[in-house]
This record gives sequence, C-alpha cells and structure tokens, in this order.
Amino acid sequence: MKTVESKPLSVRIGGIGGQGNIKMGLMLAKTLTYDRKWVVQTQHYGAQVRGGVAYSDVLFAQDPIDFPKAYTFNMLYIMDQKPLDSFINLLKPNGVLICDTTTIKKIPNFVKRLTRKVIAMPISQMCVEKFGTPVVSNVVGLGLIHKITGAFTIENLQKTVAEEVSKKYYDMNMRAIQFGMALSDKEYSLKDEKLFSKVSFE
Amino acid sequence: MIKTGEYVLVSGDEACAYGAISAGCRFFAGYPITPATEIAETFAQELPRVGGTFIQMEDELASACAIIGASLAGVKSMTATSGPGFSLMQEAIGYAAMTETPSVFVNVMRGGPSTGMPTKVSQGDIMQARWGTHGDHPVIALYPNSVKETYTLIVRAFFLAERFRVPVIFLMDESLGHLRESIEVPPIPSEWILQRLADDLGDEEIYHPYEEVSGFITPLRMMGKSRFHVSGLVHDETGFPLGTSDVADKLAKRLEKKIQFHLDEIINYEEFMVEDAEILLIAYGSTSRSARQAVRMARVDGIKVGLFRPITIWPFPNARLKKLISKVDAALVAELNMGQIYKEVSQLNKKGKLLNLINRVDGELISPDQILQAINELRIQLDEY
Repeated sequence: MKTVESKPLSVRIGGIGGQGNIKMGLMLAKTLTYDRKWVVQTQHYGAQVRGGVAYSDVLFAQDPIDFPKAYTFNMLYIMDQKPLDSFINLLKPNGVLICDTTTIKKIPNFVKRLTRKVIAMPISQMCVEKFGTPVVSNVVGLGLIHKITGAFTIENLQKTVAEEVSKKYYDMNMRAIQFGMALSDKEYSLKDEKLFSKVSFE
Repeated sequence: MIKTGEYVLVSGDEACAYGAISAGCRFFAGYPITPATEIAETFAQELPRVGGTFIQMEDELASACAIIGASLAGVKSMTATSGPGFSLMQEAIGYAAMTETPSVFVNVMRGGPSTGMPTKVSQGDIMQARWGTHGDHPVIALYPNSVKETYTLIVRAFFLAERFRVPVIFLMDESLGHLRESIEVPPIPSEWILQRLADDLGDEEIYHPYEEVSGFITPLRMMGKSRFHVSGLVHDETGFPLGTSDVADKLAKRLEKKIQFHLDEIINYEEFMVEDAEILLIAYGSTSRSARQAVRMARVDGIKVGLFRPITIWPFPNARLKKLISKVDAALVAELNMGQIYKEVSQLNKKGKLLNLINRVDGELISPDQILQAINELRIQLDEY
C-alpha cells in the first residue's frame, strides 16, 4: 500500500476581471499539459465582463489529481490590490508571491514573515513602456514564472503562446517571453509537499 | 476537434461536445446558459466541419422539441442546458419517452432552485432527472466524474438512447463542465456506435414502430420508405392514438419493462477499495473525486474505507449496492444536495446499518478533509450504535 502521496503543486492567478487572469491560467495549464504533467485548471469569475475579482487556479502533479481544488497555494500571481488582500492568506509558508505593482500599492507587512520569495515589479507599466501596450503583460508573467521556477519548458510555452494568440502579434509575444525571462535572476523552485508521510509497519 | 491519442487540455463541456461528435451526433439545438454554454459553443464551431447542423433556438422548449424531430428524421441529436433550462425541457422529455425517440439531454447542474447560482456547483437535479416529467416513464441518466470520462460516457449515452429508444439524461455539474483537465484522448471502439437500421422493408410491408417484441425494444428505422404515426397520446403498435384500457396497460408496462429487463446491460458503476471495506462511501460526479482522495487518505491511517460510485444514476444500481451495504458496518453518502441519493440508499439499507449523509448546498465542493472528518464522526457513532 502506498503510504506517501504528494499533493499537487498549486498556482493561483488573481486579478480584476478583464486583466486576462483566466487566459493566463489557461496558457499555463496548456504549457504544463504539453510537458506531460497531470493538470487541472479551474476558474472563478463574476457575471460582468470587466471588474470584480477573478481568478484562475492551476494544479499540476506527476500523478492523476483527484480533488480539483486547492485551499492553499505554492504560488500566487497577483495583478491588483483587491485580490492581493483577499488571497494573500492562502499562500503557503515559503510560497512564491509575484505582484504586479502597477496597481498594487501596498503588500501587507506580515508577508515578510511568511515568505522571502516575493517578486514585486510594475509588469504592466514596463510592458507599456517596452511594447506600447499592457496586453502582453500576462505572457511576460509566464516568461517570468518559467525563469524563476523552471516548472515548464520554454519550447512548450512558445508553442502554447503561438496557439493562443493571433498570428499578427506572434513576434511581439515571443519578445514578451524573452522580456519576462530577463526580469529576474532569482530561482524559487516550487517544492513538492508530502501529503502523507506515515511509515507503514506492515 | 481533438484526435485519439493526443495529450491535450480540454474542459468538461468541450469534451462533452467532442465525444458527442465522435458518437455520430450531427444535430445540436440549444439555448446558451451558464455553465453549459461552452457545449453549444463547441458544437457551433465543430458541427459545420463534419457536415452537421447547429441551431440556436429561441428557448429550451424549442431546443428539446427540435432534437426529437431531428432524431425521428434519422440524425443523432442532442441538446445541452442547465437546471432552469432543464425544467423547461421536461414536457419534451416526456414526449421523447412516450414516442420512444432516441435523444440525449445534457444537464450541467448549477445551484438551484430557479435561476440559483449560475457559476456554482450543485447536484440538485438528481430526482428531476428521474421524475421531472409527469407520468411513469422510462429514463436513463448517466453522470461522469472526469473530463476523460465525459468524453467516453457521452458516446455510451448515445448508444443507450439508440439501443433502448429512450431519452438519456447526461448529468454533469458546474465544477466538471468548467474544469480543464489534461487527458490522453481515448479511442472510441466502433461497437460503441449504434447505427439505425437501414430501410430493408419490402414494398408491401408496414413498419410497426411500437410493436411488443422479445426484449421489448423494436429497433427504430431510418426514415425513408417506412412511414409511421408519432403521438404523445397513448398509442397502439402502429403509433396510432388509441386510448383503450388494454392498449394503455400494454404500453405503460412495456415502457417500464424495456429498462427493467436490461438492467445488467445499462447499469454501470465503479468500486474503489471495497473488497475489505468496513465503511462504505457513496458518491458520484465531482463529489466522488473528493471521496476517492478521502479513501486514500483514510487508508493511510489504516481505516478500511471503500468507495462506490454509481455512473448510471437512473436506473439506480440497487442490487449491487444492497449487497455492499449488507457487508459493511456503516455507510456514508456524500452529495451536493439535501440528500436525494441518500434517501434512495436508505431504502436499500434493509439490515439497518448506520447510514450518514455529508452534504453541502452552498455552491462549493465537499473537500476530502470534510469527508475524512465525517468518516471519523461515523466511527465514533458506530462505537455507540
């Protein structure tokens, strides 16, 4: 009988409806699928087209995933103040927090006690300066996640982005991935947490 | 369209549409409703590519009637909706049952009653799937628990609809419909796909679509030379309305027997670690995924728990479940309603075993930890039982 089972790694991408939270979650999940992981992706959004807190959760593991939801996360990727305030308590100790500080003005102080793996930079604003539009900021974010966690391969990320964005903007998005990868040189691998670790004496 | 053997990320709703197209469905009529809209979207995109027809109707009543018409015309058809739309479809489901028209109705359940919670999960339509329309009528209801199973089970739904000439209710829930999962697309064996009989009648022969034959199912023929009368009124074997008591009696009993005589062929369930189980968990749909994890967690702690998951919800797998409950010490039903299957199970509890319910109706899934806690409470109660 199997007595040690690992819990799937979990990522929550949260922001305000219209920022592309679900699109980003979908692209992340698709990339992980191409990497032959077991992936489930769920989302939450309001009835309105824009506005209100929206989020997308991606769980992935080496084994099939039974329960498709997570209550705490190995990584939070947050794009606005309101979702940051709502979800910050769901970050696991030593989890990775990425904040787009274009709209986030204050990261709560207690986060410092929870984790040191915090990356805060005005990603949307940097995209506007570099590409003239904030729409590539999610792809920049995926490039950044690839760089710091190494959770998926760059080839599969490029494959997914090529499938998900229109051909007209292909070049810009490829540059956005490279731009995202250049943003940080930190390495925060997402650690596998053991769900059960009881020793069997049978 | 996804191809067999591919490793892809698809949602439950998309898998439902892809599976139906693989099963040979070439007509979809529907009206968008969260959380079933993606099924219609996928059909709208994919059906024209395979020569099928997609229609967005004015409402759910029209959608349900349209698929019955299309099916009688010889095309495998389905519609998809959620609770509020499913309520509107009930009259047509009764008509499909009475006229014995193969048809598939997908109901992606959301929180209810009424418009309820469009983006939240629920399993509140279990009884409606069985008794939603009036009168005693035959019905088959299936309920998958994963994206991969949705893809294959919808093919089975079409098979059962064609084989038994009944409306098949394909239940899903919001959590499953909107869940994207990585799957390796399984192959669809050709024997899972049933074709209508070609018109092989002689010139002077008349087709009797409602004849009582051995096994109680007269195969439906392709429209062509055969002409027959279709009516929701009580009818004789030719389909002609005839309200005499002997005709009514024969028809009502045949509709019932059609299902009752083929339970072994229809009923499908999954068992997980029940061989030596002392506590039996009963869960279905999305809830069974939490239950499965709870079983694995409990087993690590040495608690002998097993999971029984009905895949065919109606007809309910009574015989097998009765046997299992008589073997275990206690049973626990986990579901997202006020106890619709719990009451069904309690009727099978002939030996008076301890039977508990854990449920949630707040639009959230039951977590494995909650089920584990309920198992522990059950064990404490069992001590005093």
